Amino acid sequence: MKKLYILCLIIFLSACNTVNSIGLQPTIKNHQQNTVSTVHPRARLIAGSKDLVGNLDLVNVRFGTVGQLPRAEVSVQNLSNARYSLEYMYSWEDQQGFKINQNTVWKRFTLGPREIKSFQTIGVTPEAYGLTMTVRLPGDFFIHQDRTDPER
Amino acid sequence: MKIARTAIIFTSMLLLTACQTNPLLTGGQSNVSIVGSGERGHLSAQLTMADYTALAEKVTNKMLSSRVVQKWGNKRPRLILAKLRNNTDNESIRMQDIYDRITETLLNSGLLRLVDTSATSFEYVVRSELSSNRQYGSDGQELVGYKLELKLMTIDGEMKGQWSGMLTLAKGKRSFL
Repeated sequence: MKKLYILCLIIFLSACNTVNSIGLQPTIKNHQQNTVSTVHPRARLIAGSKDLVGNLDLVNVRFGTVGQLPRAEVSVQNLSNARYSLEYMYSWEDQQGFKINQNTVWKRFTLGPREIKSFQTIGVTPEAYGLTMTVRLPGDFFIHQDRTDPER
Repeated sequence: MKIARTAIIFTSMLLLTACQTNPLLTGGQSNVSIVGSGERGHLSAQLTMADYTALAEKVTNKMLSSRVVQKWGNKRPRLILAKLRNNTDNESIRMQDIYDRITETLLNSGLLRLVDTSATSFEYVVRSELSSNRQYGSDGQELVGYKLELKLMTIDGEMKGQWSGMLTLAKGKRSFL
Protein backbone atom coordinates (compact mmCIF):
# COMPACT_ATOMS: atom_id res chain seq x y z
CA MET A 1 0.00 0.00 0.00
CA LYS A 2 2.85 2.34 0.86
CA LYS A 3 4.44 1.66 -2.54
CA LEU A 4 1.17 2.49 -4.26
CA TYR A 5 0.94 5.76 -2.36
CA ILE A 6 4.53 6.71 -3.29
CA LEU A 7 3.81 5.85 -6.92
CA CYS A 8 0.73 8.09 -6.92
CA LEU A 9 2.74 10.89 -5.36
CA ILE A 10 5.51 10.58 -7.98
CA ILE A 11 2.95 10.73 -10.79
CA PHE A 12 1.34 13.76 -9.17
CA LEU A 13 4.61 15.61 -8.78
CA SER A 14 5.79 14.94 -12.32
CA ALA A 15 2.53 15.11 -14.30
CA CYS A 16 2.20 18.87 -14.46
CA ASN A 17 5.79 19.60 -15.40
CA THR A 18 5.17 21.19 -18.80
CA VAL A 19 7.96 23.76 -18.56
CA ASN A 20 11.45 22.38 -18.93
CA SER A 21 14.43 23.81 -17.12
CA ILE A 22 13.14 27.35 -17.07
CA GLY A 23 15.38 28.28 -14.18
CA LEU A 24 18.49 26.50 -15.38
CA GLN A 25 19.32 28.70 -18.33
CA PRO A 26 18.89 32.31 -17.23
CA THR A 27 20.15 33.76 -20.52
CA ILE A 28 17.62 32.01 -22.71
CA LYS A 29 15.07 34.37 -24.26
CA ASN A 30 12.41 31.79 -25.01
CA HIS A 31 11.95 28.07 -25.17
CA GLN A 32 12.83 26.42 -28.44
CA GLN A 33 9.53 25.50 -30.00
CA ASN A 34 8.36 25.04 -33.55
CA THR A 35 5.99 27.96 -33.05
CA VAL A 36 8.80 30.43 -32.33
CA SER A 37 11.32 31.63 -34.88
CA THR A 38 14.48 33.45 -33.79
CA VAL A 39 16.28 33.32 -37.13
CA HIS A 40 16.84 37.07 -37.09
CA PRO A 41 18.97 38.23 -34.14
CA ARG A 42 16.69 41.19 -33.47
CA ALA A 43 13.33 39.53 -34.07
CA ARG A 44 11.23 36.88 -32.44
CA LEU A 45 8.31 35.63 -34.53
CA ILE A 46 5.62 33.62 -32.78
CA ALA A 47 2.82 31.61 -34.34
CA GLY A 48 0.43 31.83 -31.42
CA SER A 49 -1.63 28.75 -32.22
CA LYS A 50 -0.60 25.18 -32.97
CA ASP A 51 -3.14 25.10 -35.81
CA LEU A 52 -1.05 27.68 -37.66
CA VAL A 53 2.15 25.64 -37.61
CA GLY A 54 2.84 24.37 -41.11
CA ASN A 55 0.06 26.50 -42.57
CA LEU A 56 1.56 29.88 -41.92
CA ASP A 57 5.08 31.21 -42.02
CA LEU A 58 6.55 34.43 -40.72
CA VAL A 59 9.30 35.35 -43.15
CA ASN A 60 11.61 38.07 -44.32
CA VAL A 61 12.15 40.33 -41.31
CA ARG A 62 13.64 43.66 -42.30
CA PHE A 63 14.89 46.46 -40.08
CA GLY A 64 15.51 50.05 -41.05
CA THR A 65 15.24 53.52 -39.62
CA VAL A 66 12.83 56.38 -40.02
CA GLY A 67 14.74 59.42 -38.91
CA GLN A 68 15.77 58.50 -35.37
CA LEU A 69 13.20 55.73 -34.98
CA PRO A 70 13.72 52.08 -35.86
CA ARG A 71 11.33 50.52 -38.33
CA ALA A 72 10.65 46.83 -38.99
CA GLU A 73 8.62 44.90 -41.49
CA VAL A 74 7.60 41.25 -41.29
CA SER A 75 5.92 39.25 -44.05
CA VAL A 76 3.36 36.60 -43.23
CA GLN A 77 2.83 33.85 -45.78
CA ASN A 78 -0.16 31.53 -46.03
CA LEU A 79 1.16 28.11 -47.07
CA SER A 80 -2.28 26.55 -47.29
CA ASN A 81 -5.39 26.87 -49.45
CA ALA A 82 -7.47 28.01 -46.49
CA ARG A 83 -8.61 31.56 -45.87
CA TYR A 84 -7.48 32.75 -42.47
CA SER A 85 -8.86 35.51 -40.30
CA LEU A 86 -6.02 36.34 -37.94
CA GLU A 87 -4.67 38.98 -35.62
CA TYR A 88 -1.16 40.15 -34.86
CA MET A 89 0.63 42.21 -32.25
CA TYR A 90 4.05 43.81 -32.12
CA SER A 91 6.11 44.61 -29.09
CA TRP A 92 9.48 46.33 -28.98
CA GLU A 93 12.37 45.94 -26.55
CA ASP A 94 15.45 48.07 -26.01
CA GLN A 95 18.97 46.71 -26.40
CA GLN A 96 19.05 45.47 -22.81
CA GLY A 97 15.86 43.49 -23.39
CA PHE A 98 13.54 45.82 -21.46
CA LYS A 99 10.11 46.21 -22.94
CA ILE A 100 9.39 49.57 -24.53
CA ASN A 101 6.33 51.16 -23.01
CA GLN A 102 4.06 51.21 -26.03
CA ASN A 103 0.29 50.99 -26.34
CA THR A 104 -0.25 47.97 -28.52
CA VAL A 105 -3.40 46.05 -29.27
CA TRP A 106 -4.20 43.04 -31.43
CA LYS A 107 -4.85 43.98 -35.03
CA ARG A 108 -7.01 41.95 -37.39
CA PHE A 109 -6.16 40.87 -40.90
CA THR A 110 -7.30 38.31 -43.43
CA LEU A 111 -4.94 36.09 -45.34
CA GLY A 112 -6.25 34.40 -48.47
CA PRO A 113 -4.90 31.14 -49.90
CA ARG A 114 -1.14 31.38 -50.60
CA GLU A 115 -1.23 35.10 -49.93
CA ILE A 116 1.72 37.04 -48.51
CA LYS A 117 1.11 40.17 -46.49
CA SER A 118 3.66 42.51 -44.95
CA PHE A 119 3.21 44.49 -41.77
CA GLN A 120 5.27 47.46 -40.80
CA THR A 121 5.83 48.88 -37.36
CA ILE A 122 7.80 51.73 -35.86
CA GLY A 123 9.56 51.53 -32.54
CA VAL A 124 8.09 54.68 -31.06
CA THR A 125 11.29 55.63 -29.22
CA PRO A 126 14.84 55.74 -30.59
CA GLU A 127 15.84 53.16 -27.94
CA ALA A 128 13.65 50.44 -29.50
CA TYR A 129 15.86 47.62 -30.79
CA GLY A 130 14.35 44.12 -30.71
CA LEU A 131 10.97 43.07 -32.00
CA THR A 132 8.49 40.36 -31.09
CA MET A 133 5.63 39.69 -33.47
CA THR A 134 2.87 37.26 -32.56
CA VAL A 135 0.23 36.01 -34.98
CA ARG A 136 -2.74 34.08 -33.64
CA LEU A 137 -6.31 33.12 -34.32
CA PRO A 138 -8.68 35.86 -33.10
CA GLY A 139 -9.30 35.80 -29.38
CA ASP A 140 -12.68 37.42 -28.85
CA PHE A 141 -13.85 36.70 -25.36
CA PHE A 142 -17.37 35.85 -26.48
CA ILE A 143 -15.90 33.25 -28.81
CA HIS A 144 -13.86 31.82 -25.95
CA GLN A 145 -17.01 31.36 -23.89
CA ASP A 146 -18.22 28.43 -25.96
CA ARG A 147 -14.80 27.03 -26.62
CA THR A 148 -14.17 23.61 -25.17
CA ASP A 149 -10.65 23.09 -26.46
CA PRO A 150 -8.33 25.57 -24.74
CA GLU A 151 -5.38 24.52 -26.90
CA ARG A 152 -7.02 25.60 -30.14
CA MET B 1 -4.97 1.12 6.21
CA LYS B 2 -7.73 3.66 6.40
CA ILE B 3 -5.21 6.52 6.43
CA ALA B 4 -3.43 5.10 3.40
CA ARG B 5 -6.69 4.78 1.47
CA THR B 6 -7.58 8.39 2.32
CA ALA B 7 -4.15 9.52 1.22
CA ILE B 8 -4.51 7.73 -2.13
CA ILE B 9 -7.93 9.26 -2.73
CA PHE B 10 -6.62 12.72 -1.83
CA THR B 11 -3.57 12.34 -4.09
CA SER B 12 -5.73 11.08 -6.94
CA MET B 13 -8.00 14.11 -6.58
CA LEU B 14 -5.03 16.44 -6.76
CA LEU B 15 -3.68 14.53 -9.74
CA LEU B 16 -6.94 14.84 -11.63
CA THR B 17 -7.42 18.54 -10.96
CA ALA B 18 -3.91 19.95 -11.00
CA CYS B 19 -3.32 19.82 -14.74
CA GLN B 20 -6.33 21.88 -15.68
CA THR B 21 -5.33 24.59 -18.13
CA ASN B 22 -6.80 28.04 -17.83
CA PRO B 23 -9.19 28.85 -20.65
CA LEU B 24 -10.41 32.44 -20.85
CA LEU B 25 -13.97 32.26 -19.59
CA THR B 26 -16.28 35.11 -18.69
CA GLY B 27 -17.81 32.87 -16.09
CA GLY B 28 -17.87 32.49 -12.38
CA GLN B 29 -20.44 33.75 -9.96
CA SER B 30 -20.46 37.35 -11.19
CA ASN B 31 -20.18 36.44 -14.89
CA VAL B 32 -17.57 39.17 -15.19
CA SER B 33 -13.94 38.70 -16.08
CA ILE B 34 -10.91 40.88 -16.68
CA VAL B 35 -9.55 40.60 -20.19
CA GLY B 36 -6.25 41.86 -21.58
CA SER B 37 -6.32 45.52 -22.57
CA GLY B 38 -5.05 44.61 -26.02
CA GLU B 39 -7.97 42.27 -26.79
CA ARG B 40 -10.32 43.41 -29.54
CA GLY B 41 -13.61 41.90 -28.38
CA HIS B 42 -16.82 43.81 -29.18
CA LEU B 43 -20.31 43.41 -27.83
CA SER B 44 -21.74 45.95 -30.27
CA ALA B 45 -20.57 47.80 -33.37
CA GLN B 46 -19.11 50.64 -31.30
CA LEU B 47 -15.50 51.62 -30.78
CA THR B 48 -13.75 50.25 -27.72
CA MET B 49 -10.73 51.60 -25.87
CA ALA B 50 -8.55 49.12 -27.78
CA ASP B 51 -9.94 50.50 -31.05
CA TYR B 52 -9.04 54.03 -30.01
CA THR B 53 -5.50 52.83 -29.34
CA ALA B 54 -5.27 50.92 -32.63
CA LEU B 55 -6.54 53.85 -34.69
CA ALA B 56 -4.32 56.38 -32.94
CA GLU B 57 -1.28 54.11 -33.22
CA LYS B 58 -1.88 53.47 -36.91
CA VAL B 59 -2.21 57.13 -37.84
CA THR B 60 0.56 58.52 -35.66
CA ASN B 61 2.96 55.82 -36.88
CA LYS B 62 2.16 56.84 -40.45
CA MET B 63 2.87 60.43 -39.55
CA LEU B 64 6.12 59.65 -37.73
CA SER B 65 7.43 57.55 -40.61
CA SER B 66 6.59 60.18 -43.22
CA ARG B 67 9.24 62.07 -45.15
CA VAL B 68 8.06 65.40 -43.72
CA VAL B 69 8.69 64.31 -40.15
CA GLN B 70 11.93 62.53 -41.06
CA LYS B 71 13.29 65.82 -42.36
CA TRP B 72 12.92 67.37 -38.91
CA GLY B 73 15.90 65.36 -37.66
CA ASN B 74 16.97 66.76 -34.28
CA LYS B 75 15.18 70.10 -34.70
CA ARG B 76 12.20 69.06 -32.54
CA PRO B 77 9.76 71.67 -33.85
CA ARG B 78 7.01 73.08 -31.65
CA LEU B 79 3.66 71.63 -32.58
CA ILE B 80 0.06 72.20 -31.54
CA LEU B 81 -2.33 69.27 -31.67
CA ALA B 82 -5.71 70.91 -32.23
CA LYS B 83 -8.85 69.52 -30.68
CA LEU B 84 -9.97 66.28 -32.31
CA ARG B 85 -13.16 66.82 -34.30
CA ASN B 86 -15.93 64.24 -34.05
CA ASN B 87 -17.55 64.00 -37.47
CA THR B 88 -19.22 60.63 -36.80
CA ASP B 89 -22.87 59.81 -36.19
CA ASN B 90 -22.05 58.93 -32.59
CA GLU B 91 -21.62 61.73 -30.10
CA SER B 92 -20.74 59.42 -27.24
CA ILE B 93 -17.29 58.57 -28.63
CA ARG B 94 -14.67 59.60 -26.11
CA MET B 95 -12.60 61.91 -28.29
CA GLN B 96 -10.33 62.90 -25.42
CA ASP B 97 -9.13 59.29 -25.12
CA ILE B 98 -8.18 59.19 -28.79
CA TYR B 99 -6.51 62.58 -28.44
CA ASP B 100 -4.51 61.35 -25.44
CA ARG B 101 -3.35 58.26 -27.32
CA ILE B 102 -2.09 60.43 -30.15
CA THR B 103 -0.27 62.87 -27.87
CA GLU B 104 1.29 59.98 -25.93
CA THR B 105 2.74 58.42 -29.09
CA LEU B 106 3.94 61.75 -30.46
CA LEU B 107 5.60 62.74 -27.20
CA ASN B 108 7.28 59.36 -26.68
CA SER B 109 8.85 59.60 -30.12
CA GLY B 110 10.99 62.53 -28.96
CA LEU B 111 10.82 63.99 -32.47
CA LEU B 112 8.80 67.09 -31.58
CA ARG B 113 7.63 69.34 -28.79
CA LEU B 114 3.94 69.54 -28.10
CA VAL B 115 2.70 72.91 -26.92
CA ASP B 116 -0.66 74.06 -25.66
CA THR B 117 -3.19 75.75 -27.95
CA SER B 118 -2.59 78.97 -26.01
CA ALA B 119 1.09 79.05 -27.04
CA THR B 120 2.15 81.97 -29.19
CA SER B 121 5.28 80.42 -30.67
CA PHE B 122 4.93 77.24 -32.72
CA GLU B 123 5.79 75.93 -36.18
CA TYR B 124 3.05 73.45 -36.98
CA VAL B 125 -0.58 72.70 -36.20
CA VAL B 126 -1.99 69.19 -36.47
CA ARG B 127 -5.72 69.07 -37.18
CA SER B 128 -7.47 65.76 -36.63
CA GLU B 129 -10.89 64.40 -37.41
CA LEU B 130 -12.77 61.18 -36.81
CA SER B 131 -15.50 60.32 -39.31
CA SER B 132 -17.72 57.31 -39.90
CA ASN B 133 -20.19 55.72 -42.23
CA ARG B 134 -22.70 52.99 -41.50
CA GLN B 135 -24.60 50.35 -43.48
CA TYR B 136 -27.46 48.17 -42.24
CA GLY B 137 -28.42 44.70 -43.45
CA SER B 138 -31.86 43.09 -43.37
CA ASP B 139 -31.28 40.83 -40.35
CA GLY B 140 -29.69 43.32 -38.01
CA GLN B 141 -26.37 43.17 -39.80
CA GLU B 142 -24.31 46.27 -39.55
CA LEU B 143 -21.13 47.53 -41.12
CA VAL B 144 -19.49 50.58 -39.57
CA GLY B 145 -16.38 52.23 -40.92
CA TYR B 146 -14.34 54.71 -38.89
CA LYS B 147 -11.61 56.91 -40.29
CA LEU B 148 -9.13 58.94 -38.28
CA GLU B 149 -7.27 61.63 -40.15
CA LEU B 150 -4.35 63.88 -39.24
CA LYS B 151 -3.41 66.98 -41.22
CA LEU B 152 -0.13 68.78 -40.64
CA MET B 153 -0.27 72.52 -41.40
CA THR B 154 2.31 75.26 -41.11
CA ILE B 155 1.39 78.54 -39.39
CA ASP B 156 0.97 80.02 -42.87
CA GLY B 157 -1.79 77.51 -43.51
CA GLU B 158 0.19 75.33 -45.92
CA MET B 159 -0.65 71.67 -45.65
CA LYS B 160 2.54 69.63 -45.28
CA GLY B 161 1.10 66.18 -44.80
CA GLN B 162 -2.07 64.15 -44.38
CA TRP B 163 -2.39 60.67 -42.91
CA SER B 164 -5.39 58.49 -42.24
CA GLY B 165 -6.23 55.14 -40.72
CA MET B 166 -9.41 53.12 -41.05
CA LEU B 167 -11.20 50.58 -38.92
CA THR B 168 -14.28 48.62 -39.95
CA LEU B 169 -16.60 46.85 -37.53
CA ALA B 170 -18.99 44.21 -38.86
CA LYS B 171 -21.95 42.97 -36.86
CA GLY B 172 -23.49 39.63 -37.86
CA LYS B 173 -27.18 38.88 -38.25
CA ARG B 174 -29.34 38.28 -35.20
CA SER B 175 -29.59 34.69 -34.10
CA PHE B 176 -32.80 33.32 -32.57
CA LEU B 177 -32.76 30.15 -30.57
